[in-house]
Amino acid sequence: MPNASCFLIAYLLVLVLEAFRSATSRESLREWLTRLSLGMFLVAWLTHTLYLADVVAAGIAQEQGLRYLKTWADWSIVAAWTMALAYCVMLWRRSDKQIGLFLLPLILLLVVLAVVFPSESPMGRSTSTVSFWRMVHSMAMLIGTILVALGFASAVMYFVHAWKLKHSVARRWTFRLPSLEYLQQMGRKCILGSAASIGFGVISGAIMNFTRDGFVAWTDRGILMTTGLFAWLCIAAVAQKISSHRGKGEWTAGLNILSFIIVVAAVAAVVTAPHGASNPQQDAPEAPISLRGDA
Amino acid sequence: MKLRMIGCSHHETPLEIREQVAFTSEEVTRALSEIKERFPDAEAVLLNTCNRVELYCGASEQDKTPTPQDLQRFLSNFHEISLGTIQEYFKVREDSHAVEHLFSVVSSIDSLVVGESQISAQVRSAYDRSKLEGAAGSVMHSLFQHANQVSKRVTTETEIHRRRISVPSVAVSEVASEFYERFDDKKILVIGSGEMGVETLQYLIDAGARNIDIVNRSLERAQNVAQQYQLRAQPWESLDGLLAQADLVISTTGAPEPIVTETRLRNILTKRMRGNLLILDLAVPRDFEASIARLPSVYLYSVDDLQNVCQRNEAFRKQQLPKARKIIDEEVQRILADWNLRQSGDTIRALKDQAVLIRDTELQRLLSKQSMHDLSHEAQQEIQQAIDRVINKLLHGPLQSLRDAPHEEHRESLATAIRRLFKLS
Repeated sequence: MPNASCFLIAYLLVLVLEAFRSATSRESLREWLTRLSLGMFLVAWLTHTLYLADVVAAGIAQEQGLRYLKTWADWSIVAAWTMALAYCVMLWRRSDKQIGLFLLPLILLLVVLAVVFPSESPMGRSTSTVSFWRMVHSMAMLIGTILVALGFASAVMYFVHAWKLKHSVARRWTFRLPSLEYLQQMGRKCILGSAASIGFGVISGAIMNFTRDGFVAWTDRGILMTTGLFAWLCIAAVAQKISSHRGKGEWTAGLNILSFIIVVAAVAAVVTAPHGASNPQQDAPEAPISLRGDA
Repeated sequence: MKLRMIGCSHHETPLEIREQVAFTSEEVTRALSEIKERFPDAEAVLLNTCNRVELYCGASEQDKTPTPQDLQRFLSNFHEISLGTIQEYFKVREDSHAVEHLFSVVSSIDSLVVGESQISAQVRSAYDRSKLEGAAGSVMHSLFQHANQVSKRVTTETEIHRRRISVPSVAVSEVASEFYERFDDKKILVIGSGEMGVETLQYLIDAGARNIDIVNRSLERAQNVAQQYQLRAQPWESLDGLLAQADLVISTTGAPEPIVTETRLRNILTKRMRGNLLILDLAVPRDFEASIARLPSVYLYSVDDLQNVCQRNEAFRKQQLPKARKIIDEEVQRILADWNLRQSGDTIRALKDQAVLIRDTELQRLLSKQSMHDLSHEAQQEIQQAIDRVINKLLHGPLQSLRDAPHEEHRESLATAIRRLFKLS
C-alpha cells in the first residue's frame, strides 16, 4: 500500500509542473502541461485516498471502527486530503488558472508536518458518547482550519492579482488567477464558514469535556486558544460584514491573512499542550493506528 | 467534376475597384439567374462581402463549367466595367486550388482580421441564397457542406477565434473580466457616446451588464444611445456622483483635455462606498489624468494598454495559422478523394449495369430458342450463374485496378479509359 512519501512526492511534482506552466507563454506547451499537471494531481490524490482507506480498513480490522483522527499527524494528513479535495474542485472549474501555486504549498506543508513530526501519543479513548462528540469536535475544527487556510490562499492570490493588474495589464503575464471579485467572495465565504465551523467545534468540545469530566477546563491552553480563535473569527466575520458595502477586497484579504496567522498560533499552542491527548488513567491500552509515513 | 472560382479580395484589389464590382442583394439574385440562363448545366454560388467578391462555378462534367473567359466576360458585362479591369484584379482558381481557397476563406485565415467570426456565416448564407435561387446543385452542396465542416474543425481544433482583437472587445472580455465575475450586478458608467463607446456598450450588454448609465456633454445624444439600448442617460453635471457609485467606467469622449483630474477623483473617492474602481479610458487624448492610476483601489487603463493586448492577441491568432492550414490541406485531400471516388463509383456502376443488360438480353435470346423450351428452371439458373461468373471474371481485373489506383490522377485516367473502352455513357 502507498505511504505518505508517495503522495508527498506526487504533490511536489504537481507543484513543479504548475510552476513550469506559469512560466511558459507557449499555448501548446501550456495545454500539455495542464493535462500532465491534472493527471499527476489525480495520481497524488488517489494515492492519498488509498492511503487513508488503508488506515481506516486497518482500524476496522482492529475493531476500532472509523476512529482515525488519533494523532496530530493523522489530523494533518486528513486536513491535507480535504484541502486537496477542495483544490480538485477548483481545478475542475478553473483549470486555466494557477490556483495550485498557492494551494499546493499548504497541502505539502501539512503532509510534511505529518511525516516529519509524527505524534506518538494517540488521542484519548472513551465512551461512545464522548467518542461521538470527539469526532464532531475534531471534524468541525478540521473544517474550520481548512477554511482559514483556503481563505489565506485566496488572500495571497488577491494581493498578487491586484498587484499584477495595477502594474500593467498589457504585459504578458504567464500565470493566470481568478478575478478579484471571485477571490474576494472566496475570502468572505472562508471567514464566515470558518467562524461557524470553529464555533461548532468549540461548542462540541465543551459538550465532550462536560460529558467526560463533568466540567469544562476553560483555562486549558488548548481550549483557551481555540476559544480565542473563535472570538477572532467572529470579529473578522462581523468586520467584513460591516465593511461589505464598501466592497474593499484588500480588507477581506487582510482579515484572512490575520486569521491564518492566529490559526497557526492556536494550532501550535494546542499541539504543544496536552489538549486531546490520551489520559492513561481513563484510557485502556491499545495499539495506536496512526497515519504515518511508514504505515 | 470541375470547379472554378473567379474573385477578388482585399489582398490585391483596392477598395474603389471592390466597390465597383460589389453586388447588392437584388443584383445577387439577378446575377445567379443570368448564370443559370447562360450556363444551364453549371452550378454557381456568389460570395459577396465588404472584403471580397467571389463567384464559384462547378459542374459534374468539365466541359459544362464556364471557362475563365466566360466568367470574366459575365462580370464585365454585369457591372459594365472594362474586361481589362476584371482580368487585372480577378484571380481564377480551379479544382483543388479553388477548394483550398474556399476552405481558407470560410476558416477566416484569408480574412483581413484573421480569426474574425462573421465570414463562416456569410459563406453559409451565400450558399443558402444560391440554393434558394436554384443555382446550386449537388456539386455546390457537397463543396459548401464540406466548407462548413472545415470551418467548425478549425474553430474547435485551433484557437484562431479565441482571443479578441478589437479594443472594445478586449476591454470587456479580457480586462474587465480580470476584475469581475459577472456584470449584471455592476454599476457601469459610459462617458461619451461616440462610436467606440457604443461598440463597448454592445459587448457589455452581451456580457450581461444591465445597470448602465450614459453621460455625454450633449444629453440629447446620450438619450439617443440610451434609448437604442434601453439604458439611462444622465446629465453631464451628475458625473461626479455617478463616478462615486460606479464599478466600471468606460470613457470615450473627444475632449482635448482630461475631463477627470487626480484631484477631482480624489474628492470623489472620499464619498465612494464601493470597492475597486476600474476605469477603461478609450479616449485619445485621454479623459483621465494618468496619475490617477496611482490611487489605491483604482485601476486605470488607457487605449495604449488595450491596444498592446490586441496586438498580442493578433500575434497569437497568427501563430495558429500553420495548424489551420494543416486542417485545410487534409480536408482538401478528403473532398477531392470523395469526388474522385464518387466519379469512379459512377463508372463501376455503369459498367456493371451494361454487363447485366447484355447478360439479360443474351439469356433471353438463348432461352427463347425452341431447343431450350424443355430446360428445367434449375438448368436455366445454372446457365445464368455461369454467365454471371464469366462477367465477374472479365470485369474483376479492370474494376480492381480502378479501386486500387494509387493516385487520384491515375484513378481518373483509368475511369476515363474504361468509359471509352466500354463505350459507357
